[in-house]
Amino acid sequence: MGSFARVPFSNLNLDIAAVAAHHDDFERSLRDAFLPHSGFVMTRYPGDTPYEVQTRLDARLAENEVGSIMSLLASLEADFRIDYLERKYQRRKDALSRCFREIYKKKGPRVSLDEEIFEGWKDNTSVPASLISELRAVFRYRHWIAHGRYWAPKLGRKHDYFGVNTLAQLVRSSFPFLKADT
Amino acid sequence: MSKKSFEKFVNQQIASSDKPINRDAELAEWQSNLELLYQIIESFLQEFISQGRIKRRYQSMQIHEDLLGEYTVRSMEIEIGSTSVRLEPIGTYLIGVKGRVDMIGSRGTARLVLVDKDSTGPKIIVKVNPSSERAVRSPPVRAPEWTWKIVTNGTRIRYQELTADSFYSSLMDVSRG
Repeated sequence: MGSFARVPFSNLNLDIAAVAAHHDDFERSLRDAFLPHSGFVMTRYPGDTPYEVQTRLDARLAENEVGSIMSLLASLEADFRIDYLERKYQRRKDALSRCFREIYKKKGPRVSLDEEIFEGWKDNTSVPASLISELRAVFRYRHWIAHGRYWAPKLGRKHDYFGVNTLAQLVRSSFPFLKADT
Repeated sequence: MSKKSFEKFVNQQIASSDKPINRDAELAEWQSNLELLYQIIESFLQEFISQGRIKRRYQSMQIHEDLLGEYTVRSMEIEIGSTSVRLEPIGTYLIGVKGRVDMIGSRGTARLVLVDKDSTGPKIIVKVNPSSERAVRSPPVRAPEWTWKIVTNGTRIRYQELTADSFYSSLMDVSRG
């Protein structure tokens, strides 16, 4: 059991609405840039067939999705971790706060999102177990992306930006997260 | 990892395997809902189709979902002059929705989702148990009544009623930006 310094919050964590706005602006810009006779295509890819231009656009859109998924999940992870810390700092009496304080005594701020935070929410709230499973699955996908995608993953499902954004909004609008008490 | 944690894990796995899905029934329900969506869309386009100004055709496609395995559904293609829009089913075991079909055009993708008739966006109610004793989970208020809705553009996901107007608007958005 150790003593842990209070984590100073940066207030720089990205909101999922900001991620979505960034994603949409990038997608629209890419689609405009890759119009078959746009100035961009004429100068950057002269001689390409429409199929080649479309293939390039599809690849850019796919990578835009991956980048946006990473940002959405980072934003969501920040929500879970801030809530975890605030439940320690605010010393509330509810079951989840008690559970997290017990974990904090041993681990402090260096806690596992998957094994401890998600498990705490599963055991001490009305959140459906299936939703926790979805969160675990999507964070496994993030792990695969973050570590270079070099192995064939067993992800169980195909993840896309819309699905992850739906999950992020579902969690953000449904979980009673404690916010940073600044 | 303690034995207690492992025992909890074993119990959870057994509990989840006690609720096997009825694959045939789930698949039949999903395919029936898909056909219903195509009927709705055809009704929106009927006037243009009968005049020969819009063509529509169906193609078979394969979907793989972990819980259902591989199965065949129909995708729909709508042709308006030189513009083509494809309605591609994504699946039924998805996050927050009962089913999803993407409407894919050259300028973007719109989403049609199968959700409860009262749902306006992805949301559930999560309550923290008041004490360390495990609280009884809240029973659902009523069984969901699935209906097709269309996802609005914007930074927040919102479900809008699927009407002829909302469908035309989305179709134009994905076709011309």
